[in-house]
Amino acid sequence: MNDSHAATSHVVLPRDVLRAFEDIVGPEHVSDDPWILDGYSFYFLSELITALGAGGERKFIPRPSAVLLPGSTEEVQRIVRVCNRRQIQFHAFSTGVVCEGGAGRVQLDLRRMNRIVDIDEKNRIAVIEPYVTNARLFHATIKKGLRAHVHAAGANTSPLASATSVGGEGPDNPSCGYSSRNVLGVEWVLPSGELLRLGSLGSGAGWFSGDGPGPSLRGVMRGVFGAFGGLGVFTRVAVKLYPWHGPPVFKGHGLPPNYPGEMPTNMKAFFAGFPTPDQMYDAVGLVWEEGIAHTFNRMPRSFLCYASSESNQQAYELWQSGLLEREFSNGISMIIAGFSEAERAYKERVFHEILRKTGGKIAETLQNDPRFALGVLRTSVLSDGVFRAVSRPSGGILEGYYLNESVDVSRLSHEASYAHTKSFTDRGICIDNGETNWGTFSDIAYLSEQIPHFDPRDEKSVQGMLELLATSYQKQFETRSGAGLFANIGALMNDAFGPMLSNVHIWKKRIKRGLDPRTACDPMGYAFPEAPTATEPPPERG
Amino acid sequence: MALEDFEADMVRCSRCSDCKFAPASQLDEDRAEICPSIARFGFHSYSAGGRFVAGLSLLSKRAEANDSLRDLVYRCQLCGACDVACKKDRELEPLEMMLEFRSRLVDLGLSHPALDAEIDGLDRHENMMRRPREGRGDWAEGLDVKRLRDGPAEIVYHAGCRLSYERSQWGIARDAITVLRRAGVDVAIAGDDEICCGGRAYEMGYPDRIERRAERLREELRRAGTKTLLTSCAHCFHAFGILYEKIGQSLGIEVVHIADYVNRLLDAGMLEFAKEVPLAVTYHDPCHLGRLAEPWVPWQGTETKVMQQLVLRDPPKSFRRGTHGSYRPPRELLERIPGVRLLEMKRVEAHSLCCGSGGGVREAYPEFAAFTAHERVDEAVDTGARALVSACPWCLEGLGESAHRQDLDVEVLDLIELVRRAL
Repeated sequence: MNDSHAATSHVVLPRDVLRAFEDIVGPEHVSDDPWILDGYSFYFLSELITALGAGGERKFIPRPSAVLLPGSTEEVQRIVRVCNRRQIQFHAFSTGVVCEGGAGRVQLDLRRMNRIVDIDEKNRIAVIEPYVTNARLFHATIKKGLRAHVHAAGANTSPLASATSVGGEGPDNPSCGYSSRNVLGVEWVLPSGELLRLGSLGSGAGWFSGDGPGPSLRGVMRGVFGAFGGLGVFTRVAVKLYPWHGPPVFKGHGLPPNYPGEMPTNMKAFFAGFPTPDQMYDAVGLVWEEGIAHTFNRMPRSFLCYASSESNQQAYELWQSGLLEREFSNGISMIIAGFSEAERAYKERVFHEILRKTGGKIAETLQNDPRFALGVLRTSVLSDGVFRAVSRPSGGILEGYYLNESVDVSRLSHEASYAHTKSFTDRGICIDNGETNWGTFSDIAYLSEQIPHFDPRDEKSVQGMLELLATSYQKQFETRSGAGLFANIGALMNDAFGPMLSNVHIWKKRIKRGLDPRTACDPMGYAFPEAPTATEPPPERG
Repeated sequence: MALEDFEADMVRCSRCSDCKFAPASQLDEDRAEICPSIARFGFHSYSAGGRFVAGLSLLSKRAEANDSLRDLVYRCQLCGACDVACKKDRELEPLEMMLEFRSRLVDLGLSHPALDAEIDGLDRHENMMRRPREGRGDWAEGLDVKRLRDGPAEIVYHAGCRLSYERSQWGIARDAITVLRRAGVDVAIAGDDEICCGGRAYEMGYPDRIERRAERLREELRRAGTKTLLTSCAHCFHAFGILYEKIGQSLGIEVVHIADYVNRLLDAGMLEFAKEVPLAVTYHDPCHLGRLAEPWVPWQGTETKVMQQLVLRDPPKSFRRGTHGSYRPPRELLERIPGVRLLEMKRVEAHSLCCGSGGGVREAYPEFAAFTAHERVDEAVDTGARALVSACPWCLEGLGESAHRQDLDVEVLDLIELVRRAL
């Protein structure tokens, strides 16, 4: 091609550094080729990250200097030590839907570390490596009558990443908790290259506890939302397992794209609509209190259209039919499960009583059409089909209002969130979903998320999303009606919004400096380190 | 189409990694990955998602197109597993994009030397085996089967390049003729006059090589009054039935794979099995007979938006999602053969793992082809089957070589060989 003059350059690592990496992981697991590196410059929402001023152009964040594929904890440690010695920043990730990283940095793609190390049936623990996916872990554990929590980011994303480094909620929260609650023993390569074992693992007592006997640093490791790879590399983790009510093999039979399959006999999906949001929230509170839900979704009706259809066209036709408006306004869907027919029947009776008390009504048409029930089953228990609702409609989603609070606080934010979204849909920025706020609940709080769909290819849509992000955060902080998911993620956002979040950014900067004195680990996903005091000696060279 | 036509897909890829795995409700804890390319080369760039990024990078002129890009694009069998997995939930076209990517690289002078040699052989000798043209019909020697050139022929059997020139596989084509004639089918072959379907050249990035061949075959078949074209080769089946439709050169006749046709003969009572074949077998779905054999649905239109940003197509587009591939007919045939017991592998039907031989990989990257075949043979052996059965000579060659290299006690057979044994 004659366009080499227009090519994007990147920081080239010295040959001896690359050789050092090759010695560790093998030459075929190291690349500094621009065509390979560009694969690591492109992520979901990267157009927003670059527009925020993190460098790069549109879909491309700045190109890293090299990508490495380590195969073991020991290899990760050795890489990190080289990075410390040569003052090169690194950033690790697993399946990689979202990643920071960028110019001059070394990306560690952990896809070779993909082993399910152990499933301890008796103690209900699974020990996994970074590239084990939700789907693989699910299928491995249900054979033993157990299951792990599956976060809503998709079937092929990493439970280890969710447990150690990012948020980690999902529709199965009611029965499986969520990722930060499920993490037990952790094997952690610190930014210095030292190996730290958290919880009972740290005292040689096995993987069973995250909080001891042994170091209990869950708050430092991940806090609420995780460090997004900004505090080192997590190489193995144990997660809690929960009872699985379904069969040992969960396979949708039939042909793509739907694999209709069958609903397990001791599970049942329910769909109900409510005349008002208030009545819906009354019902949510009671469902929560009664503990009858295996999975739960407060679902904008358009989301159900997307999730239960093969195509956008089909989703639109369903939307236009008015069926969901008639039956599923202010709607909720849930899976009820029981170990016996009697248990399931009891829970069903409780649910019908809740509907009677709150004025809710079963969405009869949806209830009697298996495509809705099976769609919700797969999405809720396995995160299978999530991208029908997330990415297919327009290519991108964002989260504006975000709340993990009591039902009553969520009730307050519901209308404000919708009104806020409407001001953007009216301008053509994002899809007019009619309603907003997806939600579920866990043992500690009700989670509510404003999820607008935008088109990453449409500049107006992208710029509008940035405005939505900023204004929604401002409003939710002012009215105390939310906590802004992204406000706490990434160094740039954290610096901007930290003062509104109990100065959490200061603590994160201190943690960053304490654990990573040479800033060897990419700070962009977490926090820039606190500046050293004038009297403080500089960190020792590695 | 041009690479630029996929720019929207490139930007809207969400890097979900679904292109690397069988759909979540279809996989198991092991053998979950379905893309040979990323399984072998590891870096994200070797997945469909990564190739979307490379495409966007090329269009954005972020890097100089070079041999490294060529390897990235050509180290892929174009097996379509990523395409089905992606399109389960999305409306992107990774496979079509990757085909256009190859064509673009050829235009840029970045073709692969090994594939150039194949194309040269095709241009000179009219086959993809790099053999002199003479002797194409030798496989049928002694069968006394009528020739297409001799007059009307309602039913024609097309052997394809591999079965015509690879002596060790002649038996497959001969068995096909034997079975057809046993059923009383008046079948003709082109013999020495047969030419390549052009399908493999098309996938190597040379779409121009298919058009002339489609035209010529259509004319020959029209002259002979042919109504049904049979073949044992999944690549030829795909070219005749799918690619010719795609390029607007439909043959206008019925194209049937031999496995499906034998089922018809059994249904019609024209063929009966007389012997038992006591054998535990597993079946490998050839990509070109399975997910890629879904009928071509022409579409021309534009993207439009409703509900402000919901993306639709005008007119509505029917995406090929692997729904209508030929998965059941070969299995039905196996199940009908007395004594045969079918043991399924983990990755089957729309999510079958490729044998490794497609997309020019066998010719350009033999080590990668062998790696993929090894993985598939391993999976077959895990079922406990004593025979690995398929319905494409390209698959059989790669899988057979792998089984031989590993010194495994497993037969690698074409379906028609089992049928022949049971007559």
